[in-house]
Amino acid sequence: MAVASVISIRIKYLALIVFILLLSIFTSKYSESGNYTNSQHGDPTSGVTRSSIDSRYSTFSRGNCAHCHEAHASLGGSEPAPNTGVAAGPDKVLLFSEEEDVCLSCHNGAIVPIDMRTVVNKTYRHPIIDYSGRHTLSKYEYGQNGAPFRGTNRHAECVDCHEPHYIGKPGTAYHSYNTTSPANNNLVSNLLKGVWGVEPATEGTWLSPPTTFTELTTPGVGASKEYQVCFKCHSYYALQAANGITTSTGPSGQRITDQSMEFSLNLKSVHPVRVPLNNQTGSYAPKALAASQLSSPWNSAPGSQTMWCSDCHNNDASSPVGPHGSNYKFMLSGTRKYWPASSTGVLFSLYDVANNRNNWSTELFCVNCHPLYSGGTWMNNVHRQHQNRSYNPGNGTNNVYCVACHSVIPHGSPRSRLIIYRTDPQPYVYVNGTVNFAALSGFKKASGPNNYAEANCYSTVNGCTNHTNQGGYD
Amino acid sequence: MACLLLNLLFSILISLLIFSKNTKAKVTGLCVNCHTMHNSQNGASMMFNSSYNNATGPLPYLLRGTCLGCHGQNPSGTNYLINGIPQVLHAGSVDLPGGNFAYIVGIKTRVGSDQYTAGHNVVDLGVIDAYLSSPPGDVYSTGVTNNNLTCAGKFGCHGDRTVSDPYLAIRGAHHTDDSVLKFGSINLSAQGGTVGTSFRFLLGVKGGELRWDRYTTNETHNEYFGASSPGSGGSATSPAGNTISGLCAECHGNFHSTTGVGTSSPWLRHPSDRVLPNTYEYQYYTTYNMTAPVARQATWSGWSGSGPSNTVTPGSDVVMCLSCHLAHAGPYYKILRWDYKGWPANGGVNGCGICHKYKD
Repeated sequence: MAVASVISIRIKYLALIVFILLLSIFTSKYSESGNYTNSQHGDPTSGVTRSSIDSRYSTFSRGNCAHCHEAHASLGGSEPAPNTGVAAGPDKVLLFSEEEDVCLSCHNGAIVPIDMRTVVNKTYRHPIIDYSGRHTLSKYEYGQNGAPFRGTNRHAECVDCHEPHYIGKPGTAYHSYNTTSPANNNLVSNLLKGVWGVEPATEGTWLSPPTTFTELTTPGVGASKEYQVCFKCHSYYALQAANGITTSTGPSGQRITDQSMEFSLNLKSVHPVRVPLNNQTGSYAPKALAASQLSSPWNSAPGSQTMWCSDCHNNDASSPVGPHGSNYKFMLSGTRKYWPASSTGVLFSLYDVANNRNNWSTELFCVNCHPLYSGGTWMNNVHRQHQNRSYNPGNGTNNVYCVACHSVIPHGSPRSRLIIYRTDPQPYVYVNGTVNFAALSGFKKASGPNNYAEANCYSTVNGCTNHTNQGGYD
Repeated sequence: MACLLLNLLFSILISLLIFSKNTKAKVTGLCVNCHTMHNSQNGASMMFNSSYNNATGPLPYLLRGTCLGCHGQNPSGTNYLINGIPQVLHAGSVDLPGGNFAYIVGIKTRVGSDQYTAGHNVVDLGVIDAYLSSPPGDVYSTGVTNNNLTCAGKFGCHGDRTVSDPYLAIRGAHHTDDSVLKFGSINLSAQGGTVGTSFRFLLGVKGGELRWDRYTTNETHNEYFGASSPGSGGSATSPAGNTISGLCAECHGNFHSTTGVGTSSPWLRHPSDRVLPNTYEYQYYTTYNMTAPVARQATWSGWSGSGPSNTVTPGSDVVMCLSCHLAHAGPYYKILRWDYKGWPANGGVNGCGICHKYKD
């Protein structure tokens, strides 16, 4: 009986060992899938294929390296096709073409249904098609403290924002509000997975951007948040502007500024692309807007949510998503795409809103998320109080424009509620000729949207001088 | 004590297993293993009875076979060595480091390749390449075609490529003392001057020979000689830098030149005879992998005695043509060491990912 028991125990141990061995074999097999094969391009059933461009590639599995790279620039003894847009001959990184032409050979609306070639040709765009020979290899562009993105090197190729070997698969939403973890709304979407980015090593202050950055280059990981990808080009890391304002002009006609400064945690107000407003260290209570000042889905977790840069800057068409190009300035996205002036070029004002003029309800960009006025009701008493007022920053009498009080670049401000002062530089203040349209010299945030009083503001501009200097301003 | 004896016996057994496969290019043994005085024994021909011998005899130098006649004596057999003669064409499971021409003729099963893409289609096999009429990248205009590619001489890889006759091109090599190529007595400076003192009779190529079979463990492999740059001394008959890649470049020179490949990354074509960087994804390739072997530079300490190593040293070791390809033939498309063409649908290994870590 005892012998039988021992045998039984040994059989059980043996069975356990066999089970563990089988499990380890199974898991090791399962773990063979790597970063690339988990990506959209590397998927063996729906991944990249060049066979419709060159039938010789139909012999390769979908997702195979050969659909983009040709080790010898020779297939069957001849140069593989196509080689569009550049001189014939082998191309860098063993690609079958160069730079954006590689991607656009497939992402043209024919081979891949999404037409990137059209969108990158739109008027307001990242300069994907504008430069060649500036990009080397993504992995060679870090470790140089941003130099590859500066001056005459400045560029934006597809692979500066996308890592084609790690790019995620469709099926889960690329770009939608994260209702379960709204603080994670700024995490990179599947489309940006694996691409490297930068994070400010220190926090800047107004007109003094951060000058040191941590490069997020861990293979297969890269940037974790979308803005970290944007900061590669839109910060001191590339711009090298000591006050955050460059002398260069973007395609929308405005000087290029430093977004790492504009979204500094030290500022009193920002759009929450980096941290939820409740974590904005430079801000003071109430840090977040009231839910009534926000539209869905943003009214679900004010103060606890973050957002993408591409929530505001995107294609004007619904597809393909992403800030590649747009027919609207600043690539402003959403139903309403104009700021700070309407399609007619007239600055938006509170009078427009109150009197339903200047296409405000269909064009004013801010209204996509901020319901200023609805059914005769204003969402804060400041706007209500000024709806029929005028001010005289120059020689003429003007309605109270949005840019009288708010920054032309409403990313962030050293004052609460994205308020701008007359003493702030362009392009944050709106200047037409010699006339500075900013009205304020002082502002302090009220305890609620309807609690503003005359003393919350200070102005020396004609029409506003009833706001005398009471001190204690931001 | 018993344990010690067991260990000793085990060590002896392992040593026998290893050294029994050691390569000995300098022929020893009976002359009749290779030669015949009259091509007649009891009235019968002494030619090797191989369907690929392509000779009824007699043959020059009183040989009993052509290259394939000797080195493919028994195509349906399973031995990779017959009387000490390495077999480049056989049906066994153990191929030579260069592969096995059996994949071309269909004796062994191909995976994703066909008879024209599985290997170098030497005319001796009777399977003329239907796709390529000349070597891709043939910048030296070698004159090699799909109708004259053979094992040795001007239209082959082995022997002296300045000599058209394959017998003359290889003459004497089999009887040369080649100890300078063997680990334990390697002398790089004494290698490459003659066919017999060249790695695998590839004139001018240096290296370290250990065994005939394609190694099954990482530690016991031959070692290829590489350089940090393709160099400029290459020609149709001389390997640049005395490297194995330089030998390939005699026919495929466009893939081993600064003009065709570029001088630095980003490369125009995949580099060979370039140091595996000690940065980026490459720095993680540190254990020798048979799917993507590396070559060693002249400065490698292993040449002087420590022998083959299973360690890869990024920043020092070298990417070569044979990092991806076999020399003779294999089961996979384009003589690659893995089923590249079928990946990733095949769920197998992508050899690219061995160097290009995180892209697998």
